[in-house]
Amino acid sequence: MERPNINVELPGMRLKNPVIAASGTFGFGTEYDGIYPAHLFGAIILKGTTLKPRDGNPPPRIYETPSGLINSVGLQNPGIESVYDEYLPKLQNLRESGTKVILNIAGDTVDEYEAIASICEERGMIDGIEVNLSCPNVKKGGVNFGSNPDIASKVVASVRRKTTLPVIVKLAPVVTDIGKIALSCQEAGADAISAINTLPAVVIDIDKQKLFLGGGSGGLSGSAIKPFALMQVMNIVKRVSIPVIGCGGIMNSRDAIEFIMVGARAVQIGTGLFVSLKTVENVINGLVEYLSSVRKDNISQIEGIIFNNGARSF
Amino acid sequence: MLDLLLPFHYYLKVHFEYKYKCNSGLVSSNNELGSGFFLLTIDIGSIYFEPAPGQFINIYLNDEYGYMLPRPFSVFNIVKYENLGSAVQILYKVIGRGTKIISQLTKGDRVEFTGPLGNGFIIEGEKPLLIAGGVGIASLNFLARRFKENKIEPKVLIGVRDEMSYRAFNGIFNNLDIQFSIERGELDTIFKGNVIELYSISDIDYDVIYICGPTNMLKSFEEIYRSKNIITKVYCCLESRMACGVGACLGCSIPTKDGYRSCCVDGPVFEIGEVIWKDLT
Repeated sequence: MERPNINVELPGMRLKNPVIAASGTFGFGTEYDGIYPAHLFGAIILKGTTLKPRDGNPPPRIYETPSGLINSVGLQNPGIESVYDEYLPKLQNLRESGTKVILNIAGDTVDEYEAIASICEERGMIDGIEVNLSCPNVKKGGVNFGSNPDIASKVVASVRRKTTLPVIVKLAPVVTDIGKIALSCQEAGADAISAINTLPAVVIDIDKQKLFLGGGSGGLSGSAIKPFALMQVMNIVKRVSIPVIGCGGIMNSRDAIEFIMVGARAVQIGTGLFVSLKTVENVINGLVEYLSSVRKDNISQIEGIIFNNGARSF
Repeated sequence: MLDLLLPFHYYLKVHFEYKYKCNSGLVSSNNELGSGFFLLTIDIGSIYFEPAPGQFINIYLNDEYGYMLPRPFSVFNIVKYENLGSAVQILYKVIGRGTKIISQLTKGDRVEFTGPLGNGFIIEGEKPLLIAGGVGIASLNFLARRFKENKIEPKVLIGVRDEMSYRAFNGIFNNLDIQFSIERGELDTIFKGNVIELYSISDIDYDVIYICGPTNMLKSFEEIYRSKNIITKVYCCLESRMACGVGACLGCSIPTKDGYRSCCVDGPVFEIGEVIWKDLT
């Protein structure tokens, strides 16, 4: 039997494999040079970028929990213009080698998202945009953009209007009905959904009797969130027709296969990149081995397979 | 064509130094020194590995469903074997789960690590003074040895908590001019108090200071530094919780006059004036 095909098709881009570096864990693509080769990935998603530079939250910013990592980086980034001037030129060889480069964007207002999307459209150099909806809407009293279908669709529609690049929307996970939000993003013109972002979390310093993280709260990632992530991906897949990218606690090929079986087209690995220097290699090799062992010649044959076998969403 | 004229080892150096910071080795020993301190020696064979003092390695625990992050440790020493090969040594104290797992490594276990990472100390001065708090001596030991290779004899002050810690440390620093301070208990000939108090009463003549230890210790040093208007250069090796170790995750930020900078790639060594000490946690 031939080597199973693990290329996957996302709108506007064909990935050589379904493994994507999750935003915030792979910097701006060059930090891991010589350690974690970026060309291993089907795509890399760069760190959350805003219109203007941001300092981020005060330290401490990270804390490790059993099977989990809480971060409170707070979108530290040099701003969209610097990302274009300093970082993206260095990634053009990577794009030529077949790894897609996606920029994650964030904002405080709908206008800000729109302005960044316009700059991306004008300056190019990327293969797609991932819209981070887990940001507080400053004009609406800090309510998360991702917490409400109407606000979410406003952001997506405004980005959509400004760019022809593929638009992926990354959803906040703790909402009443994630499927409904995903659907409204699809209707507003999203090309794909990625889910889930980190879960809100705090750490208590009992010696100082206060919150540990400088930013107060943070986002929980890692294996601890995987079962919840799988369920949310299921709930999205049942509602939308656009591809879903699964994310949340993927450490090895088994974890990745689980996400694909609940209907994810591709997967993002974030915290898993910190755990071992071979995570990506192991996921890709393990995926190929699994497909061979179950006599499937294409990864698409297991995508969403649990639904063929009687699963329903919740 | 010009490239062909370069000696072969040049290519090796470039190859390993700039392309491959992923390394692995076999534990040759992991000795408990007492009081929770351990000295881990990892044989790395003949790979090119030439850290500068102050640089660190990030040791992978490879525990994907448990405690996941690699743990950063300053290089304590590089042992060059008489035949081919060398070993990297780290000095650490068991504090939490990560260091506990590392303390359970035994001879022959494979250890994966990245490094050397970060920016090391700038080596300068004729009369260096090295001030260490506890396990902070790790990076300064390596620095002291580099000074000695340059025929400069550094003065070293080490603060330890108690007699057990003193006994753990005493004996692993051969041929260094060391004065200890001890916080708890009584030991003849040893200064009673913390290492910053020892520094403030000492009359050592120095032209540059290198300091490494817990954040609170560095902060109390900085108060003295400011109040006494010390004009010599002071290089501080800071510690921080880290994830990636390469500047990608921005988890280990240090507040500096130029904004937040990453401990892992912009440090861990900073000049004392660069850091905003009141914001450092």
